[in-house]
Amino acid sequence: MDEEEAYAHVRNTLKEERMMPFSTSEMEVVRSVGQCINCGTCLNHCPVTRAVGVERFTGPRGIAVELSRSPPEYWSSTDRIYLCTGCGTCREVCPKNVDIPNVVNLMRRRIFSQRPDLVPQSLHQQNEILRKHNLAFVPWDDPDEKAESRNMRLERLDLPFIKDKIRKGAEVLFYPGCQAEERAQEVREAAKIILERFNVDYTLVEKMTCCSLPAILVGDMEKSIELSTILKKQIDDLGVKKIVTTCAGCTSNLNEIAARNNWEIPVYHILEFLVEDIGVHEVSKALSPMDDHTVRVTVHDPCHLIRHTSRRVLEYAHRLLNAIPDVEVVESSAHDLCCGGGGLVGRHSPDVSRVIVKENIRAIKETSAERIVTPCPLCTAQIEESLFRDGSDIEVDDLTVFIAQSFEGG
Amino acid sequence: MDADYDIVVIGGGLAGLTAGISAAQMNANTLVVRKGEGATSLSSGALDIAGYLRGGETPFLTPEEGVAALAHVYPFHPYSVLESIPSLGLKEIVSWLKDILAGSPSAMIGSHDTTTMALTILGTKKPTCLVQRTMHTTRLDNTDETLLFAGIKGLADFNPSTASKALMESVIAGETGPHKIVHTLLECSPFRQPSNISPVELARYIETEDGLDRIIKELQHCTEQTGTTLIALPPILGLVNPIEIKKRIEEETGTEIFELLSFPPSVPGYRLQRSLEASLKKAGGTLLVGHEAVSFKKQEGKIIDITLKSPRRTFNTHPKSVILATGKFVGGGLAGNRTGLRETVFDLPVLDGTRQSVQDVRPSHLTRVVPLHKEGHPLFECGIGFDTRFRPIDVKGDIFASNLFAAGSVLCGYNYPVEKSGLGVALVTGRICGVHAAENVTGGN
Ligand SMILES: Cc1cc2nc3c(=O)[nH]c(=O)nc-3n(C[C@H](O)[C@H](O)[C@H](O)COP(=O)(O)OP(=O)(O)OC[C@H]3O[C@@H](n4cnc5c(N)ncnc54)[C@H](O)[C@@H]3O)c2cc1C
Ligand code: SF4
Ligand code: SF4
Repeated sequence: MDEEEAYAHVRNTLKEERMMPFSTSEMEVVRSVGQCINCGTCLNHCPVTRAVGVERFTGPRGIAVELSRSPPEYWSSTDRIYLCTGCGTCREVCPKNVDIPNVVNLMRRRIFSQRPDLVPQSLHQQNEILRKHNLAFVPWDDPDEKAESRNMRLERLDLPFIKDKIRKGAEVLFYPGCQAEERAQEVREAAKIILERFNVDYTLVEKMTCCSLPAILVGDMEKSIELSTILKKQIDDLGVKKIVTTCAGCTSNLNEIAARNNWEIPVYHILEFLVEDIGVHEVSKALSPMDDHTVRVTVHDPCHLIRHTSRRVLEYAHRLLNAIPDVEVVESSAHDLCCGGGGLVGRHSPDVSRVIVKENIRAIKETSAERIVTPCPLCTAQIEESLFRDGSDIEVDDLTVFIAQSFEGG
Repeated sequence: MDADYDIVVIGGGLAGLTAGISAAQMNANTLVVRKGEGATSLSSGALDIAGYLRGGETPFLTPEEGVAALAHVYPFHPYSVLESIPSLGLKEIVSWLKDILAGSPSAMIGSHDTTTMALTILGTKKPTCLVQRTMHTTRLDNTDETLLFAGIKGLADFNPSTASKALMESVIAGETGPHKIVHTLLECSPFRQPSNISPVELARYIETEDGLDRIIKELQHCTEQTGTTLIALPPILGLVNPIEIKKRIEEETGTEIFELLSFPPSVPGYRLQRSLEASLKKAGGTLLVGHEAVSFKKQEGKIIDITLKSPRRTFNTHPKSVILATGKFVGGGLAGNRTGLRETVFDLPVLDGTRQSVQDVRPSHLTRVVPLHKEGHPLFECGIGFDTRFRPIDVKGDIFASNLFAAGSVLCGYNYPVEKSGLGVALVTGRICGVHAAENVTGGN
């Protein structure tokens, strides 16, 4: 019996007692909470506390202090655990790096399994979609309509269409994630254009399935394990050596799963792949001016890249942008603030999500940028919608699309 | 993918940032890396240099005098190194910092030759050297002022009634101070609820038109009734432009206002941390947040490699000089368990204030029974040993690596809570290390 099976066994025997033991990786998270010194540094930075106040969201300190002062067996407080976006800001500023985002996931897991009635309805609805389709969104009914939507997007962006490739034994798996598969199809297409351009030996998956992050956020452990298992089987069948994605959430989630389960297959965001495997110099040879004038852009840093993966990924973004002729990057004072789109908060408390993103919008408008780019289709959607609601005419682009657009000869 | 820098500074508190800014100003390609925030952002935001001798009750007349006294009485004190570096005296270092912070939200007032007695939210006074402009007042010693302690309903940290009582008692006991002291609780909650407000919430609220209007109206009402001329507020005057906010409120109320020294979570500590980070960037240095120095390689007496780790990535740097500024127990530079104390990055020997090893001493044996003891707890004097260039020493007393320097509270030999020397030692040692490390890289100039 390996460790995971042993854990599943113990968990089953305790099910009737309504107890859920901690797995080995969860124990690490639990221990980090014990380090909390109640200093409140996290409170100064949590985007949700900033938006709605301590009274509505006690914030990371509330979660850490209450939890660190009672044995884990007694953690009952669901204290608005569903308002946490999982941005990781608290963990990054905390002197003790208390792992609040994972504490929140761990608690959501227990609530889902012990008291599903306390899980917000909207999260159950999200989960139904996952259970039914193995995707975060209801997929297109008609493949022709999906293709038509894709073509319209490509036409608007003046990007060519490249046929999908599914090839066993390819070097690289390009994994687009649900958002780019079902909604922002231009991101998926742009990545293919980039990979083709540099003659990368890549493949797509036979059948797109979710990376499991939404299931983790809902707290449905069974479903999340099932989804990552399905994906792993596809990866094994294809025999790829590395995975490249265009989504910040997929990058950090797949990295976490790969590390935990010893996949021994590295997972990169496409920005990392471009800088580390292709090289900025090589990429810059393919780039040409975007427009007949200098394009001023500002960048939004996705939490799942900077705080869950590494801040260096966004350094890479800047290196690539600087390599595009006639692109000038201006910094927004809120470039690394959470946009409120994570943790499924936008699903069940859209009001909170909308207040959080206000700060980003204010700062973006303060720059002289005519475009904002971000290396994640989910952040792109959240910011695009908010800017639109705000009546702003600043254009929003996924960074992968922006790079593909700046290739010489279209 | 590896990255190359001339200088890698491990730790992004006052010591690390001061070192990083100094090195970057000397054109060294500098990286400051921090895994979290440390004691600097928890501090009151007032920079203490030297307040007392351990056990003493009379504050030093000037920080300069204090530094000399501490160096004299405790030969292993970090300040004792200052004597051997005439080019980097206390005066130069203090005015350097003031220049660095000028125009920032935490612009500082004070000088190396004046001890400032700053008022705390407890109504007591504490000797310090530099205070942020928003915390500055010269009118506290005027007997004919009417001082108002203005608290905020729902902000539990500050009880204006106890503070005014404490200050009144000291005035009655003969200290100079305003003869009329009043107090009030303002209603000014950002989310309309009168409880559970954090200082930073208020600071953000005051930065909105709505918040500023409300606090002004409340204060106007109160000052008219009491004839207030001077107002003491908890430190909440904004994160980004506190100085303008102070001016606005002063104009509208016809009084002078200042912030009190307070506990964490601290708004002035936040401002100080952010202002220093901005200065590093301005000087041409790089700040890498969310990465921890996890291991190193040493060859022929030099550190040749530092490994940095974020949640999901690891990479190496090959610096020419390294500065260790990882702080103490809050910052994470020192860690203790039942068996003893250890330094967390290089596993350097941990020594007490008299340079005896405490490697195997249970930390609880380094504290006194009384929590607030005049002499302080020996635990706070523990840290790593250093030579006159702030290079850490190994178990045998030799230099651990010729290109490794250490600054700030990771060092042994001083007791900041009782000496009131915390940010001061971080500043002085950080500045000296930054300059030394840069000289080491450029071959001296
Ligand atoms: C609650 C409190 C209040 C205080 N108030 C005052 C005051 O009012 N006035 C005053 O003068 N002093 C005060 N002090 C003392 C003063 O704040 C400290 O002495 C001073 O800030 C120390 O600065 P530092 O840079 O050495 O360490 P810190 O500010 O603690 O910084 C250490 C840094 O190192 C980082 N780090 C540690 N290990 C690693 C690693 N392996 N890799 C990467 N990064 C790492 C940490 O994340 C942190 O960024 C106070 C201290 C405390 C705790
Ligand atoms: S979680 Fe971290 S930052 Fe928050 S109160 Fe605890 S120790 Fe401080
Ligand atoms: S992860 Fe983000 S939203 Fe959640 S408590 Fe921490 S800072 Fe707040």
